[in-house]
Amino acid sequence: MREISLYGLGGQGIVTLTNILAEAAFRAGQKVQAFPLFGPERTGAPVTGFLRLDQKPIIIRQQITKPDIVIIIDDRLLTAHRSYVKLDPAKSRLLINSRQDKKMLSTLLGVPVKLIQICQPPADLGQAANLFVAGTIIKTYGLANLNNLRLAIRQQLADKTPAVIEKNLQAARLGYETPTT
Amino acid sequence: MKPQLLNGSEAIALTINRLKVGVVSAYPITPQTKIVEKLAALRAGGQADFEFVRAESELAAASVVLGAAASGVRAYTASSSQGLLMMAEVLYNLSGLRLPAVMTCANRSLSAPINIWNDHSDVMALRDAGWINFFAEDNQAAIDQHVLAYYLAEKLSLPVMINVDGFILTHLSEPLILPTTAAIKKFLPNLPASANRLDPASPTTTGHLVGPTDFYRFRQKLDQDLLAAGPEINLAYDRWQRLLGRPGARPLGNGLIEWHGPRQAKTVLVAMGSVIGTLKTAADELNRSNQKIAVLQIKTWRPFPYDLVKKFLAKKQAIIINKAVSPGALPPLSCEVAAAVTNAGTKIIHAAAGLGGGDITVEQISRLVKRSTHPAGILYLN
Repeated sequence: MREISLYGLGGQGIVTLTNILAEAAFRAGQKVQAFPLFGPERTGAPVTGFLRLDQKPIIIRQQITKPDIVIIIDDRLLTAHRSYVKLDPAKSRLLINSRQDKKMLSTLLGVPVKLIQICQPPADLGQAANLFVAGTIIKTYGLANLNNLRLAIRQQLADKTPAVIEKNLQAARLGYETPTT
Repeated sequence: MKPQLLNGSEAIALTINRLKVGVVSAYPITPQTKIVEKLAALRAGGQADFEFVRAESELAAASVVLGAAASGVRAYTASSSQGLLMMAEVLYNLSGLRLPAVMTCANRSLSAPINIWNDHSDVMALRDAGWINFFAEDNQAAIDQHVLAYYLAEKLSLPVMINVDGFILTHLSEPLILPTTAAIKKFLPNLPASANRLDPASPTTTGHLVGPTDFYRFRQKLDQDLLAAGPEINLAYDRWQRLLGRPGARPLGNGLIEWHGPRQAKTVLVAMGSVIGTLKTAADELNRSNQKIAVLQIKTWRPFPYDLVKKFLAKKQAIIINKAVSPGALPPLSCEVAAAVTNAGTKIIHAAAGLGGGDITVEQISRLVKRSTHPAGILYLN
């Protein structure tokens, strides 16, 4: 089983990102389990998404505290809300949306530099930045292929306008094609 | 049938729509909201035929359901926590009037202090309301229990509540198989026209004042009918499993309970709801190092399956995982299990866990099982 934790702030689309990744991995033939953990329900509060992937049905229901992969889509979480981020410094691989250097992130998180990768969605993506990260995640960790992701986005954002869906599809492709550092 | 990835709330709403309910009435409350939002969206999008009555409170929503059920219409509502408490008097009326309503409780703690997360405090406050009560282990079980609920409610003239752990199941996506309309049509007959329905063409009175003699009869009959519902629940469960082509998937289980692990287990973890999957995981891990642990899942809380619980727990150590407490007394699940195993040679350990959304982990359960001594009273896991 692979366990993934996703961290962001309310309004940044962590729940949507988690559900889209779950759908993409499900389409790629895996058994999946996805659920959010809300703090107080308000914009700007920390939000966590949990994702489990396995070849057999998943019955465990506890939160993920020793994830194989940690996604952080806002590095303010590492200062103001550091205690929310649960990880295993010996094994958790991290993908962080950040402009800071790896050494600084390594110090903030207490994990070795070699486990950290950085992605930087272009600022003009706005609300679609989470889908840029989705593209980066499936490429980096092999959760699904780009077509699985595209279908998952179309399904999960079915109630959005065609323009919004297109923008998110483009963001996902860009994330998929942009190497991490 | 191919599974699809759905969260619990969507799956319940889609199932309710396929069950051809005539009236849905609800007032939103976390974590039930997504269920009724989905139902409202289905109605607004022209994918549903039921009437959606937006109520000004839970008291009103439950009353609309009561009125619909009394008029012979299949009705549905859902609530949580404080909302369920606000429905309390109507829930007693629904069972007293022997009306076949069905509701989902997306289980959540009770204030104060305010807390929006899961435990079983809400339903336990209504445990004596005279409803059949199911607890869902996962969202597939929740879907199936909603189908059984309407069948049983209409056959036995008893209201049915399905307890689905708030957030842990309602907000969790997993691969699920929704029952087809064809399967539902085979399983669930149309709502029978009963003599006990309000009809303007033939006015009658229902729920009028009665003296002690008749009141006593009503209460006794409600109690006896609930107890007698156990075999009916099993028959319905078997028929639904067969209809879906999954007989024997869970050999040591039925509509009331399920046993997981070696039959010769020395220690049995007893619980209800979504914690079961974590307990099974813990038991499987412990059994790999010869611990002899099993899990007894209580799926039907009312009527409580006393005989089965006694049979499975006789001469064993039972650790009861309660997700609600009864301040000043034993927790509700502990009470029933203790009553069931009278003179059965069972050693009981009472634990309270997961209160107000506390995470229950495999590690916690392993530590609990491995403890050599247990305190008298209730062991609070946190």
